[in-house]
Amino acid sequence: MADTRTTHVTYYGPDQDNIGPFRTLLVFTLLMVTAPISLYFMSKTIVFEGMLSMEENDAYFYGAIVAVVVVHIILVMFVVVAFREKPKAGFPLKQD
Amino acid sequence: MSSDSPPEYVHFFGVMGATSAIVFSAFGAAYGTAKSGMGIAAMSVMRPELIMKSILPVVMAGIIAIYGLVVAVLIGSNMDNTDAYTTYRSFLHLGAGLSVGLSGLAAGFAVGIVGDAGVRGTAQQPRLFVGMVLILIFAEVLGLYGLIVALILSTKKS
Repeated sequence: MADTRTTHVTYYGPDQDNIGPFRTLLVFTLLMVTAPISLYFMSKTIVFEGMLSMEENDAYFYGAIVAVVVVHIILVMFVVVAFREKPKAGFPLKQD
Repeated sequence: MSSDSPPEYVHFFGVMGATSAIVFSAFGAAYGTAKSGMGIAAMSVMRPELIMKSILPVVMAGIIAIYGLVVAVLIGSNMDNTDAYTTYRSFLHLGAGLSVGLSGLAAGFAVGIVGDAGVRGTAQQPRLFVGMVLILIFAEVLGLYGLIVALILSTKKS
């Protein structure tokens, strides 16, 4: 007879288990697609040309730096979330 | 040297700069995404709980494309059809686009190969993840150096 004691087995659970990480990935994808470019233009017009009254070329330059910093912030957030996520253990074999 | 108005073909260099910025960094990002996607698909058969962590090389490949996008937008916004757009500025734009594009291509290659091997190894040895992240960071800064040079070039005053 096979040994039916509880072992750590990878059990292919239903697809509903994936909904959590999928939502996280969706949020990060939308963030990565929209945030850098929109903050680039927003910081250029509102912050650098509006409040600091720079020339257009300089405002584009500093706006690019803002966009790159925002991209790295999103990357660090993603790494932190990925590290924090605890891997779901598989269901153990049922004991009769 | 006559400085009445720039020659007709001067806009070619500027436009090619903007194009090459996004095209070559998209090449690099595509290769990075594809190669590390292969590794993710292979290792997630046995360890599906690691998929979230393993998407990291794909995210970093996407960042390389964002570098190219930012420079292309910067160049495209600085181009105009007036006489103020001299040959000097158009050459600067071409150089900026090529620098970020080809550096992004190189960085994307590195991210793809390291990501592929790294995620496959992380499935078997979880302690490899931190090492993979460090190597990916080093590969990513290659694209960042190209972006820095592109920004310096494209914002020089004539």
